Amino acid sequence: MTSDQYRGNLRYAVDIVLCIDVTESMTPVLDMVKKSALTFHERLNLVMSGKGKEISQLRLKVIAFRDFGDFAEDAIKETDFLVFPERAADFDRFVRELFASGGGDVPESGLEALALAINADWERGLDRRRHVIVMFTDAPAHPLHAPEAVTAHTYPQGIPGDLDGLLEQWGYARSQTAVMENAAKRLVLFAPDAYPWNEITEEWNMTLHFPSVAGQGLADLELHEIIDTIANSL
Amino acid sequence: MTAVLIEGLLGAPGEGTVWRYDGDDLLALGVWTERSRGGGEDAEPLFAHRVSTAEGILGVFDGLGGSGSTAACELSDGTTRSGAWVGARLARLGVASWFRGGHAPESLRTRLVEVLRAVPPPRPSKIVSSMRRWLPTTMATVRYRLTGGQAECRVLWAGDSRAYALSPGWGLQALTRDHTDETDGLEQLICDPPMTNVICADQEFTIDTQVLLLPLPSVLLCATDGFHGYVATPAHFECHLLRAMQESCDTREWAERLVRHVLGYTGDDASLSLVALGYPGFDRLRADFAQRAEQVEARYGGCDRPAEEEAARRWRTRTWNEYRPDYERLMPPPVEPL
Amino acid sequence: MRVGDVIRGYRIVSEPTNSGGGRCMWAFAQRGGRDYFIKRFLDPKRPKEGSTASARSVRLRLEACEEFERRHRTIMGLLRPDAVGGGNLVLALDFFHDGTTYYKVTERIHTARTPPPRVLTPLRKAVLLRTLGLSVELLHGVGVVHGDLKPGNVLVRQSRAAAYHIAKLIDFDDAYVSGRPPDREDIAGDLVFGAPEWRRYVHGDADVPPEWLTTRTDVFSLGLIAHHYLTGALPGFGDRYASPADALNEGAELRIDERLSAPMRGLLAAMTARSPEVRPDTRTFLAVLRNPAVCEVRAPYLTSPGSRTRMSRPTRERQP
Ligand SMILES: Nc1ncnc2c1ncn2[C@@H]1O[C@H](COP(=O)(O)OP(=O)(O)OP(=O)(O)O)[C@@H](O)[C@H]1O
Ligand SMILES: [Mg+2]
Repeated sequence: MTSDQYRGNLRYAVDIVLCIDVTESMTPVLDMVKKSALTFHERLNLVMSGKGKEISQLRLKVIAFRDFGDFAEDAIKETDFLVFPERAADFDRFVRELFASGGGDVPESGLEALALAINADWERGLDRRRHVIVMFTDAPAHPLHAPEAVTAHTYPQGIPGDLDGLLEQWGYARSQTAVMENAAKRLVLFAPDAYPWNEITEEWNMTLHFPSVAGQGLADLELHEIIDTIANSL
Repeated sequence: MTAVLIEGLLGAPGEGTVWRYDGDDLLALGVWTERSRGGGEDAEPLFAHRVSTAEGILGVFDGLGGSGSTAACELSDGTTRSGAWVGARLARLGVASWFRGGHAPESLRTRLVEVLRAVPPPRPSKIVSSMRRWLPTTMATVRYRLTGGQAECRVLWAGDSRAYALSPGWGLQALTRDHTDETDGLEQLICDPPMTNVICADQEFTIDTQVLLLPLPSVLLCATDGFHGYVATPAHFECHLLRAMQESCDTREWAERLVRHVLGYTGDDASLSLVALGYPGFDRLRADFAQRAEQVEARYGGCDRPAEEEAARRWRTRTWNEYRPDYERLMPPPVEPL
Repeated sequence: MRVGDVIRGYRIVSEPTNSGGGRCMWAFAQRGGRDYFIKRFLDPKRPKEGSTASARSVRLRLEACEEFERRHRTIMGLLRPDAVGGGNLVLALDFFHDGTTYYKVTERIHTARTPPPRVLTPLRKAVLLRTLGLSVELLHGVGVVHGDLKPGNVLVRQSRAAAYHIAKLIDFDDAYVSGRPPDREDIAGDLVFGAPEWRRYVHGDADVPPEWLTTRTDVFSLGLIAHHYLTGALPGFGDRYASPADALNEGAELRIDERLSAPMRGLLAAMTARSPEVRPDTRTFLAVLRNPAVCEVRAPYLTSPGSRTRMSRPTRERQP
């Protein structure tokens, strides 16, 4: 419980899910996330207070993914939503144990990670909410329920069968199937201009795509850009 | 709270110092002159105004050279000053901090005692007679608060420095009564009676006070006897004030003219703090007082003042009697001797 | 949308960003040798050609798009870029969808480094606020509420070195017809600069019907912007609240900066009143600003000069 709850004012809840591709080529991005884990909260607050806005409750969740078709055991690792700054140490521990390795063929299980993010346990209370999913990957993704993936015993249950189904969960203004709040949600993609990211950008609302130059990965992505982008969407 | 210091405008040596402020319905000016260069024992005239609460204070302090000149202080900058010089400034400091702190009127005396105590006197044997006080000074201040078209005024004084109201209808009106046995304004001018009460560090003193409600717009001023003690009749001080005003085109010029006027007639250090409340600007103030200025000039200005001494005395008495009712209308009654 | 892309003939010439944009990506563009600002909306999105989604999904999305287009075209119909005196309203020159995505194009405003308005002279502040007030008055004159007035939607521009600073009003995408705001979930607005009735409306307060959101809702925000331009800060609202609107809704009062002139304090206090009905209109705002002196900012505590000498040394007898 934050002291804010006693205030007579509007309370702003921010939930952020970081979906991080942890296959080998992602080392630089992962290093950046590790380095910033403990200061992320402060930096975000700094940018926000510069805009005269205050976050009453900030929660972060990480979903690290590789490829179900490649090695089922470590295809997905995730945290709960961690309240910041109280759980910053847990967040830090989790990301520090991540290491970039493996990946097999080029496409990864990014869509499964996205599906898990969409179905996360988002904050429904407080007065105003922002639910942000940030996807970091340098690769295209396998289609949902790809044959080599679904056979993995770790493959998540209840994931939509295809991209159309995932869009119905993501939702749109008058959708009745959405699991996300239309006004609160944002999807920020730091991903290549390839399937499925290009299609998602085209058809999904509230989606921002910062395409990585093919073959160059996300090496030149800077933390402050990411924080600014998130802060701008708040 | 950010305090803004009104900038002082320094005249040539021997010409005194003035400051002025032109604000929202608030004009203020201060004049400070000294009789002999570097020896000015009047403290710098005080004015402070807090916009948030629409209240302010003005005041003057005349360090009493006669009774305080032998003992002296060394300042932190190495110069030596008379006890009178220090007393006046300490009293000013005390009043300013008392106002800033928003304290009750009753606590002013305690505040002054505290401030004056901070400077220990020279060894007691050195102060020879009871006439010789330590850090002696007069004080005249008006603390005002503006509410609903009126100025609530608390006048506080000791000695022969004076506070006045100035209005087009009534002219100059004294708000204080000097602490002297002589209570007649003209007699006080003629015989310069000794003071029965002044602020000092080593003897009892009282702070006299009265409360008034004045309609806005209103002009308030405090002056030391350098301004009002060297004129032919009390009316002449008003003549000087209004003449300087009418000859000027802005607040600053008014202050500068007051310096020149007072240097022309005074025999002492002279300081004055004045505030015009509720006037949108100097032009309006001057226009409002134009007629009054002409009247006092014509009646008391003294063009038709007889040269012959006895006739001149009679003329002074007559005009004083004419001037006196309005002049004294806001004055507190004299304290009846027991 | 990337640098070098050409969308309906507009060539993107700057890195698209969401900086300062709530529900858009934007960039500068060129067409026919002229500079433009182009905005790509994040919402709504049209179903793509040959969508494999259900017919129902496609229909619902198309309905939302029609509604969106209707609202934009209504506002565009009311605000013509060539309207007299509308020079400081940065209005849509083009509005279209390219594939699934909606775009809007306006003139590009070049805002070279301008100082924060609070450091400008009173006269310059008055001119800046008047240009802003005139633009808002024009909107209100045709019954349009801007809906998202805040400093981020006012570009301050100085055309030449010594020229006056002019306010260019942008971002009419959340505008609506007075008394007929978008639904509670859809309405835009700023958490800090928004009006009390807007806050309550967003919050779902049944006591605030849509009809309460009128041009006076803009007046509240305009009052806060003016206060911000003049003093560099919002009126005081106590650190228990997140915004002036919240403070007012909780029964607290705003503290207008005391350094402001009396007429300005009166004006801003009225503009930021809790109740929309008592707020003045933009005509009053402009009338007060006719005298630039009202834009002066005074010190809250004045004090005359005195001696700075410290009397801390022990005393001694003066030698005759
Ligand atoms: N005509 C223009 N010329 C130059 N820059 C502009 C122009 N219009 C907008 N901008 C810049 O783009 C930013 C975003 O524009 P705009 O306010 O229209 O977006 P938005 O998504 O509606 O933002 P919000 O909803 O947060 O107000 C502005 O803050 C401004 O810096
Ligand atoms: Mg905007």
